Amino acid sequence: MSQQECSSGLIKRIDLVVIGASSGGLDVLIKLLRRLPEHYAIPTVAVLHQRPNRSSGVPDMLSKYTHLKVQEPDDKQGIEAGHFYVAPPNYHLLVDSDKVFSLSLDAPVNFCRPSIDMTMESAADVYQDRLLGCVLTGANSDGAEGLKYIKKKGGYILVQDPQEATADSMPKAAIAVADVDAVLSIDRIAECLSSINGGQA
Amino acid sequence: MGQGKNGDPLSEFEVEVECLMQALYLRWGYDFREYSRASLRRRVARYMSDNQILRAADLQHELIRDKKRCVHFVRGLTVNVTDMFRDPVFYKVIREQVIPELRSHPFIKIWHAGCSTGEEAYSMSILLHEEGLGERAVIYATDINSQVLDQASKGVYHEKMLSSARENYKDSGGKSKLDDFVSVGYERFLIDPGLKKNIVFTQHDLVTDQVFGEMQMVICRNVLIYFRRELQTKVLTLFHNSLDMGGFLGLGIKESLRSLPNEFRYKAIDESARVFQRVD
Ligand SMILES: C[S@@+](CC[C@H](N)C(=O)[O-])C[C@H]1O[C@@H](n2cnc3c(N)ncnc32)[C@H](O)[C@@H]1O
Repeated sequence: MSQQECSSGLIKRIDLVVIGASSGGLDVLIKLLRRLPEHYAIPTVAVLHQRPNRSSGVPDMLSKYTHLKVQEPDDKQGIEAGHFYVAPPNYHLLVDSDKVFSLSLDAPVNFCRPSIDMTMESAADVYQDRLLGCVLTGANSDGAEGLKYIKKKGGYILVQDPQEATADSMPKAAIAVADVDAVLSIDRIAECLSSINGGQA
Repeated sequence: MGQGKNGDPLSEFEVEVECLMQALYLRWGYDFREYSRASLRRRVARYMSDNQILRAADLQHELIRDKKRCVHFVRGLTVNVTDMFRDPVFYKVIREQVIPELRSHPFIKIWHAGCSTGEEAYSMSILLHEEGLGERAVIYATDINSQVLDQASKGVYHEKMLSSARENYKDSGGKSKLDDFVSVGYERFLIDPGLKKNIVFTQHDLVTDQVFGEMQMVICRNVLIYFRRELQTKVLTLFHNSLDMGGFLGLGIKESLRSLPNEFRYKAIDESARVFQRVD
């Protein structure tokens, strides 16, 4: 589908965006953040696979490119507009029933902790059809099941164009597994996010 | 009931999980009713598929009648991942900012709640010995899961954990070498028996059991993340009542005091390491 359709009200109201990215992910998240307009304020969660080191420094890095407040959420922190949350390394990041984050040390899922699937699935249980899921570059298949589940719950799902992605296996896996609403370049994804909810969060 | 917290009706599986938790509590007294649902549901689903149980009703039927199934299920519900000197910055802050204050005590009591397989308690024991407080300290290390406590009291771990343990130990400000405190062989490493003398491993359920009196320090890391906020409040109150005035509270690196009752006062010894001191 085209960008036209993306902005023409096909997407109903969205209250949370969950983005998954792996190798090449940091650069593409920076690109995305730079393209989000001033008015963008939908709470957004990025699950980025990282080496399991202690403090990631990712929020500081991303903060330079956005007006949004970038942070690794604490356990039971509430989800708020105007925030861009990054999953802390070494924990799974879950969304709990009263729209708060819960962390978990459950075993890695398909070698991943944080697992994109886990964040997406738990978010879909809470946000139902008001969730938008998006899978970007990555060299594994995390996120495919998560997107499928979001779709099942009535949410909206986007995938970065594999031709553009630094590593194409994650977007390809997502396209193979889930009935994706749109496959778009990162520029288009940014436009799409900017236009939802009538362009204002 | 019949509704989720946000007012939407619960799904079939969500209802089944509620029933399972109720049954577990009514029949055996294990109380998971106030655990965070997102991860609890995943673990129930995981337990059922690992054990080839197709229907939650079958699990519930057995759970009510068979104590062994209950114990097995409770093990399946708890997450026991842990590591020696996990989050080295935490131990560094303990070493540099808490130990100096503890030195003035003739006798030091420390409670590790949710100690899992014991790595955390041994890490603390190493630190105390290095600081010359080993003889004056007792560590009470507790968990709800008796199986992990058995493992903990053995103090034997797989060798593949050793390299990260060594690295963490060094980053935590360790004064010698981790290998001075463990012996390695047969793909295992063994905690030096001298380090075990001052550790008491016992079963204790944070939800249903009582205070653990007059501690100079309570450490509970990566356990509260499995609880809903109301239960966190209850357990933080339990810790408060177990702490001496001026005692220290150590939490997991992503845990906070946001669920603490307003009337309790703590000051941050180090905000990012999540080490606090009781001041009221
Ligand atoms: C992820 S481990 C944390 C281990 C260690 N503290 C750490 O941070 O590395 C969580 C532990 O909490 C224990 N636990 C869960 N519920 C509990 C309860 N109600 N009372 C006591 N321990 C509990 C589990 O059995 C498990 O061993």
